[in-house]
Amino acid sequence: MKLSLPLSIFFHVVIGLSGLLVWQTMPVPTEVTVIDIPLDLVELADETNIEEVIRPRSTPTPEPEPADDIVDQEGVDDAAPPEESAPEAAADVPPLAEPEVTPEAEPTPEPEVEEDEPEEQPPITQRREERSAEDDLNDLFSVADDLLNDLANQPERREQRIPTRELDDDEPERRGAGDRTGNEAQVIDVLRAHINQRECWRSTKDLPDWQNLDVSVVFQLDAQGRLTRPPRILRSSRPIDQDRFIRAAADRAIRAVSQCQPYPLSEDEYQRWRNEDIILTFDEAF
Amino acid sequence: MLLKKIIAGLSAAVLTGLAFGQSAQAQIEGTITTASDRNFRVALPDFDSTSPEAAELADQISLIIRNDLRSTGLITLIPPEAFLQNELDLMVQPRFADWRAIQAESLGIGRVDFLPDGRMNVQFRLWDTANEQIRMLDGRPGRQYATTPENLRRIAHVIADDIYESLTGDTGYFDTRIVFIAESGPKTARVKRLAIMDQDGANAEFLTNGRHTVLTPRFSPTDQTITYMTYENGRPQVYLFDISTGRSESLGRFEGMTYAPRFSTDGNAVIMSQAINGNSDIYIMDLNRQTRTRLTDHPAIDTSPSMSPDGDEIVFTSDRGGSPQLYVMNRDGSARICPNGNRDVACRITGFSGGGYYSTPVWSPRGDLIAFTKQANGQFYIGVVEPDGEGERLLTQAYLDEGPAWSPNGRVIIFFRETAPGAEPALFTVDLTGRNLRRVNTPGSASDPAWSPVLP
Repeated sequence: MKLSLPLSIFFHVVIGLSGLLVWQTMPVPTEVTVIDIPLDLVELADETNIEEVIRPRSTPTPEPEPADDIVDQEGVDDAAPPEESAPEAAADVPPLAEPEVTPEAEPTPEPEVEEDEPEEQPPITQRREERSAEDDLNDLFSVADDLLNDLANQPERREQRIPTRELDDDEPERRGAGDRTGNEAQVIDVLRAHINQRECWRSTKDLPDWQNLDVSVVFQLDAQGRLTRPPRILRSSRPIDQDRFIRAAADRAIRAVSQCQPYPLSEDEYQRWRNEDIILTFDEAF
Repeated sequence: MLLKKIIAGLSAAVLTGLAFGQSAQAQIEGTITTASDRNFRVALPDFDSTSPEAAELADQISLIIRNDLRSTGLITLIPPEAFLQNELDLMVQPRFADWRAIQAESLGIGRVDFLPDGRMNVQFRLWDTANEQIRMLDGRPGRQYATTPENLRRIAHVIADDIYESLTGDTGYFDTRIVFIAESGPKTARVKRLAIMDQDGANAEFLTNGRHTVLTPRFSPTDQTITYMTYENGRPQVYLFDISTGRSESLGRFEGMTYAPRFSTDGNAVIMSQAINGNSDIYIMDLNRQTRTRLTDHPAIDTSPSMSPDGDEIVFTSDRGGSPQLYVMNRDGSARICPNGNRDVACRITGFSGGGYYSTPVWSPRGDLIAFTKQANGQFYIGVVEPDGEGERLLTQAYLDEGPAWSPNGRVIIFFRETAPGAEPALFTVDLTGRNLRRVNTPGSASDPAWSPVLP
């Protein structure tokens, strides 16, 4: 009992300080954004003359296929053909590249990542500093409460941070920097519609337990809507090497993404998906 | 001390949260839920060759592969007239854009030539035109087979299996055989002989001479042995037939009649019905120990047993409920909880809605479905149901559809059909989705088919 009051005070202080620590690195709560910052949001692509960075497509180094890579079928005839029977690659055309079953993403230099957040933040920062100078315990508790509320309602908080203003009817639609949710919805809608229309994803309903064959594929797209590197499996409902059916589902998902490129995304809106990992989960039982 | 721990815990939690927050990567995420049922689109130009003799073989191989792939109903072959690139070399990367332009997702390139020792040499590669890379075939970037020209059909089936497996992710079933009952003569004096052929109907031959009626042949899941029922000694008895030696032998001299045999999942036993004094029950015969064990003990007729792929359960037909229905029991005869919540040795899984009689159950090699024959409203159906009785689907309907058997990959069902009273029976296949109903070529009338495992 004697310790209860000091413990209570200590806890409050710790929570408050922790909250402050997090708060400084977290987006500002809604009520802070009521400060009216005159912003004219523009598409970077509308204003910049910076040339688009196009990742050079990796061209497989053509290598003559060694005859040993072609195998004999056991049980049919196990005698290997003589080496001289192996065909030679034509001199004027690129011979076979070394194949890969599941292409792994190659570590390619990433272009500079652009900030999602609007850059015009000084007033908010200044206000933060002023508040952090105050050493009022009650205020700390209040901040801690705000933080807890924010953490509990993170999705809403993300949406609330989007600076918005009404657009005139004749004004072209513009996207607010950091408008992640809108980005996701629009990009995903385009990809989904394209994959459906082109019928790139083949159903897995012919496989046993198809309701549990969902697979997530991660990839990135360039400005023309083409894959910047081979797509890869990010996660799946069960380990890919567990059985052939989940492997088949993974293969069909990978092929769906590859086969459907280029995706009809507007180059003018490249910023929406530039450098973003796009993750598509293929799940017929969803 | 307690305070220190609390502080440490809180700090760790806060720091962990910060770390996660900072490491979160920009991403866009969504779900695709609508898939297409369209076919895999494959371009398979005629195999290349280096001599007129090889060209003839190349044409035959190409044709057999195309027929195999086409028969699946899952693969659409791009017509050669649409090809934009006609000069292809097995060792040279094709012009992928040309193949994508005609919507060929995969391109197969093959070549046939002769080795100095006179053997035929068949090489094959499969390209993924979207990813512009070789599709692996059994983990290899290509296939090469050197054999005598007599094995041409098998080589073609093996390559078709390679393509099928690469595209669908499922195991192929083209390099397999089908055993069936070849029927001839008038209905009143029918001659029924054991016969075998390739799965595409080629190389058909009789295994028995027809002096004794033969019924219900079933392949061993592990080798080229068949078990069947014959009236060789005047009463129904179960026999074994070794295809490699052509030798048959009785499973044993048992009291009464033995019939409806089927191999256990491991091939080491035969489960069958034995009727003694008019009461039919299920027995299992261990082929190594030559011991026989009774699995059911019921005054009703228990017959047509089929074992689950894991060997733990058996589905069979019984009229213990008043009409022929399917029941599932544990292999060891122990009690189980039935779908209706009751505890019983055998659980009924069919006939709860719509009535009808169910018979000839066969457990899928995949384990997720049981195929059956259903009789209702004067028609026969081939259908599938889950082992717990859920998800019943009827795949075919005719005057008489009967005797389903699974392909070794559990994807296709073969059965026999009579389209009208007195009509000759013929073999048909249907995809487990109910699509792609096809008649199988046989030398004459045929019934009671059974599929072999993939040939070694």
